[in-house]
Amino acid sequence: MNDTYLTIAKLFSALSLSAFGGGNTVLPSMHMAAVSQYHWMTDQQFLDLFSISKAAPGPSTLIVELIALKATGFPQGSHFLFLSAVIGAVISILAMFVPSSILLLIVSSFWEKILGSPWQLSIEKALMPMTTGLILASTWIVARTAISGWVTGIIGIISLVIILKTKINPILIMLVAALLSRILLK
Amino acid sequence: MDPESNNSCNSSILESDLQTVNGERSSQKNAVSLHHIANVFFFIGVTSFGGGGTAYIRRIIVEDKKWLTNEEFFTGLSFCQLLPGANVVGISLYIGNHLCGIAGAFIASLFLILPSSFIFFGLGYLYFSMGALPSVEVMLKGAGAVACGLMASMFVEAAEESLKNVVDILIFIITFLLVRVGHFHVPIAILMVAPVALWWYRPRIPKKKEETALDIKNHLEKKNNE
Repeated sequence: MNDTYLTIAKLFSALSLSAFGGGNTVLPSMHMAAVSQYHWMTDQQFLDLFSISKAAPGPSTLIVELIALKATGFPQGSHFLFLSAVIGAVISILAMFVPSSILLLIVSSFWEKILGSPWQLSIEKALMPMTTGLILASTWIVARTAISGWVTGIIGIISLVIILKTKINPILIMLVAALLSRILLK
Repeated sequence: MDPESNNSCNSSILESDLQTVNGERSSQKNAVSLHHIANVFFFIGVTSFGGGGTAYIRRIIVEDKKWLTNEEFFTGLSFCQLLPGANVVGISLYIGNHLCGIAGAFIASLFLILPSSFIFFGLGYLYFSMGALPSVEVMLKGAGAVACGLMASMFVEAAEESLKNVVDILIFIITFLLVRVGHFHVPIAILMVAPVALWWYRPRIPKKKEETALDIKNHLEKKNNE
């Protein structure tokens, strides 16, 4: 069991520092480790965990917690081990978020120190159009999976207009859209 | 409740000096306490569905709360894209650090992750003990489409904010194409474009101002002579 904790800590801290461009980029590595390498779960179970992480509120990178929960809380042929599951979940979250967070905090703190300097303004001006390009690229990716037909396409466009023109919280729009799609896409 | 906690975490004289220097760039930084940060990021954590989390955070932090300007937010976002790690966690750290330093960063990320982690634990337990998924997929389709609209709205805002001349538009298009068509990893694309963009926007010595000052001086001297 202690071996599993150690494996989880090593695996996710390594993935934390290699997740360039966001948590989604290391999903294939997670899949390989959880299914083929350590045999914590089946292929189908991993896909289901992926769906849960997308549907549940909060950062979808918390899929690491679901993987750890299975590896430590439901080892093969055992009943549910609550304490191990909690320890495993905590280790997985710390391993996945702490290393990358330290890196980001170092950069952010440095940034706050040079606020107002000429180079800071230059970096800001240079980065902004690049960020816009990257946002368009990720919007594109989201659109490819989210827009799957007429109904979702129209919902997407209408919600874009509502979000740009009004101050309505997007969560309200999501609730309405969820109900609408339940009625229209059944 | 602790009465002091409602005070802002940035009330030093130095900080307010910096704000006036920055002029129109300043946001409502001074009015935000750790309590506010905890409340807002708790709310964001439990209400962000269907992807596009960074767009949702921008909507709340920049538009509703006005804690950051668009420039400040998008610069932070570019750090998240350059460095490894989940973008929503990264931008929370950046926002927290900007508002209240390291403590702010810690509180923002903690309150973003912790409530969701309880929900994830509960859902994971239910899934592995029952072995089945509840079918909410149809409803998620609608929510996902809205999340897509939300991302697109962030793109519109970013474009308005950042594309101010032909060079900006060129940088934007090249970055997009490198990632979308060239399939370069995001930080590699950034590192490819950044040197040129930085060179273009490098700090330049304002020679013109000195010249005009000299011109005026000459002009005045001439007048005096006359």
